[in-house]
Amino acid sequence: MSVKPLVLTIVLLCLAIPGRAQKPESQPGYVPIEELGLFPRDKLEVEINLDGPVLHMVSAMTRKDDPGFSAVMDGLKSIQVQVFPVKGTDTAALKTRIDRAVHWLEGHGWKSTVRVREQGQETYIYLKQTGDQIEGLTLLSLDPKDEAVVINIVGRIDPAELGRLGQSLHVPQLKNVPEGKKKPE
Amino acid sequence: MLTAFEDTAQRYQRRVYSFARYLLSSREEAEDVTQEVLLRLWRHRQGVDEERLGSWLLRVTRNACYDLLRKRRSESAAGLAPGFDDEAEEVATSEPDPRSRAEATDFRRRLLAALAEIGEPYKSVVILREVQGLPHREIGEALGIPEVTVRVHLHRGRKRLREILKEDVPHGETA
Amino acid sequence: MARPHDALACEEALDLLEPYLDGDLPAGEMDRVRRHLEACPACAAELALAARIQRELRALPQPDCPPEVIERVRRAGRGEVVPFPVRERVPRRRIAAAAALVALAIGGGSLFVHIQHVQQQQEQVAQATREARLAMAYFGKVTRKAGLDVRDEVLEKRLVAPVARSVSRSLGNTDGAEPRKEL
Repeated sequence: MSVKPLVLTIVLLCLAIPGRAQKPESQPGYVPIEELGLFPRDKLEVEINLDGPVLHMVSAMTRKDDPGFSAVMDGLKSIQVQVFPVKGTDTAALKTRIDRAVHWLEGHGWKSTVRVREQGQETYIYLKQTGDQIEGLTLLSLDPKDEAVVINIVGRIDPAELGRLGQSLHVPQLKNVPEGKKKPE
Repeated sequence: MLTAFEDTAQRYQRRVYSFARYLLSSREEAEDVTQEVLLRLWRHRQGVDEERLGSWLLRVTRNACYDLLRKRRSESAAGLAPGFDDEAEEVATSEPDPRSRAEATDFRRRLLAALAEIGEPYKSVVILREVQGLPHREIGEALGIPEVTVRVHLHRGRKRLREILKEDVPHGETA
Repeated sequence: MARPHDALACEEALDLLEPYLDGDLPAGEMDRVRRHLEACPACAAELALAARIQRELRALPQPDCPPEVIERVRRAGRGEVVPFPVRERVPRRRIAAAAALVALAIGGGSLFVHIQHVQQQQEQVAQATREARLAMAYFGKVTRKAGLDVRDEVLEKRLVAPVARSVSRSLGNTDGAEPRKEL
């Protein structure tokens, strides 16, 4: 690629960025999952924090090869994910913290749209609306035999599109990755 | 005190770095892990038993590598990362003719890809025993497993490599 | 001819090739494997592969750590603050900052572009793309587990319809209108 088009691209991106640079914390659909203290951070299996400017660039980068994915990303202002492996931990304490998070959501105007409890597994999906627009989605789930997951997505959300995208992707498996840090002797 | 530490760091840097290199398949990440491990050694230097230093370093290295792998879980775990190209190429110069060189390079490349693919607990043991040449006892200390388990993991890990490579190598052309 | 009662089947022999190579079998087992290999070209070829793998693993280089890494550790040991090189661990906010730096350089009248910043930015965006896909994959995994599976109407009923109904109610529609596809 010659320098000029590259320079133009960067300038355009820079112009685009300020409009998206609103802090995610100020968005109605944002949930401060770190503050909710659901899981110990040093034991997380997965932790993802992506904000608006980055998601906009992700959308731009994938527009040609994956327009469906790009379109979903285009409307988003932040994605937060925490995954905590549950095996061997106190699931009762975990359930209590999840209940507390559910109460927090309900106390902050989030509406429950999914509550599934089956065979010990629990899944909650809450939506935050402003008028007729969904501005936030929060998913909480606990599978006592596997993992607990919290996902908060902020932005222009179409839950059906999100669901279709999610169903088309798979979480890669890591085989028998050893457990976390041991203290040095 | 710094001089003694520098000597220790110099003595063990290859062991730590090459272990991380083969676990992560990434030169840059192996450098970061090595820096982190040696810094941790500096911080904990009073508390580490000199005799167990080697196995302590390997254990900390492996944990640091897997912390990093958890963070980059989104990347594909299978397949050869670009960073291995120079190790694959090194074999070429000792082969007598171009065809043998090409075949040898190709075999090594596939072996490295297979090594990246086999999971734990075999991968660490194969690297520490076959690549680094450490005794079974020391590997057991480093990984917190009995020596007999080290041997079992070693055999199973190499068997797994053989199964992966067998799919590619034509029958009879193996030696 | 019938197999002697203590003869190995191929499946068993293949399981024992690595300990056989290492001499880690009891003497009797070593003999049984050896006899099998003498009579079975296929398993003998596998042994050759196993031996080659071991040879190649032992020939793999053990590279030295680049000296600049040791230097950074040395400097840290002397009390200097030595950050890790800027790589994937750069916080997401820095992507905007790096791009802004480039914009400043251009806006300053110079067409000088810091290519290294751009390359880092591209790597970081690629990493962010992978993480965004992973986030979506976890959403899919959890909803699948909860029975909100690929049948769109399930997701529609459980997520879209209730929202649409509540929107409809808030707009004063009481005729139970069809859920809208777009929200």
